[in-house]
Amino acid sequence: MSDYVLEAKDVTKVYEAGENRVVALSDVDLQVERGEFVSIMGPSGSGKTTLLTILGCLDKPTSGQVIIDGLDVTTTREAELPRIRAEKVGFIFQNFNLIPTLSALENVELPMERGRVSKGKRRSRTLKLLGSVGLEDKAGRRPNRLSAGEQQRVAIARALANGPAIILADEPTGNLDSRTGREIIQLLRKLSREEGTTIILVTHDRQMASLSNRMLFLRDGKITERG
Amino acid sequence: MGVLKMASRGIWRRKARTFLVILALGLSIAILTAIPAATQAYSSSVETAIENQSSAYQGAISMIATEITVGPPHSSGDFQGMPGFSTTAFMDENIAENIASIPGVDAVVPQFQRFLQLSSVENQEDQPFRRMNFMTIIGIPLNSSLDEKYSVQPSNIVEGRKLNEDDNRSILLGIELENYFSVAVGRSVNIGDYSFLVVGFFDAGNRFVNRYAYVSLDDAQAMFDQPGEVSQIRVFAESVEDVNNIANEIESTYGDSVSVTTQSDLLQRIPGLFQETENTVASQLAQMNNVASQEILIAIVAGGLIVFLTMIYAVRERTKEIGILKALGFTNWNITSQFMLEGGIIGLVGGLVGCLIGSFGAPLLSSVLLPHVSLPTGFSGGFGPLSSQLATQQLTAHVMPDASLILFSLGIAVILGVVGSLYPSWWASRKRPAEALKYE
Repeated sequence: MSDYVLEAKDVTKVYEAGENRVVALSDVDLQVERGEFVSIMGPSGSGKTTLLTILGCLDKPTSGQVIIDGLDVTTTREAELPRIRAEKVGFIFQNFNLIPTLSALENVELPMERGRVSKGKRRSRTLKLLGSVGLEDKAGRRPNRLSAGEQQRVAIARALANGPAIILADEPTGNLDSRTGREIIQLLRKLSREEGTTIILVTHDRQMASLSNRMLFLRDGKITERG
Repeated sequence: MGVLKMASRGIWRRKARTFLVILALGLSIAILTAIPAATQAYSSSVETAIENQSSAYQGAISMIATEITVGPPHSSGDFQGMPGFSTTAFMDENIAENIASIPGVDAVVPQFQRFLQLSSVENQEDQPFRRMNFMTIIGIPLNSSLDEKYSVQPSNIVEGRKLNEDDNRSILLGIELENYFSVAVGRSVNIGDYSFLVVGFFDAGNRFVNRYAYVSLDDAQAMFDQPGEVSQIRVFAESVEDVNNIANEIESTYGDSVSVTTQSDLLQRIPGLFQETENTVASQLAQMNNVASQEILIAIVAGGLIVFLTMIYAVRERTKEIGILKALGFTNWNITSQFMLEGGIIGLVGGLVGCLIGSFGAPLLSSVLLPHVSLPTGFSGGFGPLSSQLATQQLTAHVMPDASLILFSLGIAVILGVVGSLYPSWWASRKRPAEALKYE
């Protein structure tokens, strides 16, 4: 077994809509070590989000291989993918994507429902996570009663809920002011270190990217080490 | 935080819409509850009404059909079927006793009837009496058990009483004669040379018959000085089967000196009349059931459609949420079951509301939505003498859905909720997460 927690080999994604054929990703190769904090930068339309959805098993590549924690998810049966998403991957989105009808606590608890964790353990883990993002006193609030920064912190706690191997963060600071954005990235880095989680951060903000261990650049569907 | 909680939160997210959907579904279910209850109630009330009428008819018919009228020869000149109106012919009273001994004869009622011109009109202001200055004296045997069985005396007494067995020199007057004689119950009235004590007044609902006056047979015969004479003998057979034998026996014994009349043609008409009524009622009920089943079908389709469209809308609205849930590792089945549960809950609540509306509003709903059902009045119209006994029955149906119907409707409501959300939830679960997440 390799040391890489995440590997992408020759990943190509082509969107076809009638006559139009758009190559979103072209032979992308990527190796991420366990515990690493990698940022992927690139202008909008460069295929950043496409890459994240493929790495997070939300979509399949047209060709190529994605290996998460030693498991080739491109050949895995469709029915197995939800479990992999639940256990191996945590998502953080630009617009937080919390369920509006659920409280902060319920949102964080939600991914754990798919596992076989007892209700009591679920609750104590949820409270611990909310504590670590500094929201223990706002656990009962619904997203619309939280600030943008607080919402993103709930999303971080949710992404960490099942102790995933990797966290995929898609422009997590895009909707936050720079100070809050910085706080969020620092929190993410601190928690991933504590939990031993790998982070892949997609951003077009060089400042945020500079907080990572390694910066990669995506341009015209291809990955490079330098911008 | 189970699927149930998610589903119920999903429902409460759009309160106004949920309220309207539940109300609309509730109305569908109310129709589903009230209409079958109403058709059931109407059917059984029609059934009861027909049963009541037919048993009343059977009683009346068996009485009429067993009657044989024996009169003097050529007494067919009866004016408008009123015996005695123009009769001047009479028979020997002993014939009655002889007929009574014929096997199969249950009772014999000899009657003396005589039309009486009222020469002096005392009440000049009463115009009709100047044109109709007559009355009919009817002498009858005073026997209460006979009267009870065969209605020898008129039954609708409006004042006073009937004649009793020892009421000699007493008279029961038709209501038209009350004004004419200006008498009251307990007073005396003079007719010719005779004075009678008035025991009561009757109202037969007919101006001619209301000018009859009933006295004892003996008094009538004495009054006209015709002892031992009768104008008509009503013969009652024990059963309808005996009627022809008795009639033949009388005819062979007395030949042309009497005329014998039976009700055979009436008997022949009866099955047809019953059939006609049953057909009319059956076609009314069939029409009602037809309308009812159409309405039920529409209610079910509408209910299903309401849930379907609501869930389609809910799924569209929450496409992004579906994407999030998928990203968090929820399976297709998790998502399908959540939306189906939502549909089921809407169905259950809508069903409860519907059963409530249906139970309390059943009479109103059914009267608005179903064609009216009534027994045809023509049913009793064919029998003049029976009409008063057989007044047309009003149909009163107690429309109230029973427990099994309510449970059934509730079940249908839940099924509609689940089935209506089947396709929308399947459609929701099939969404590719990457696309669903992009949905705004």
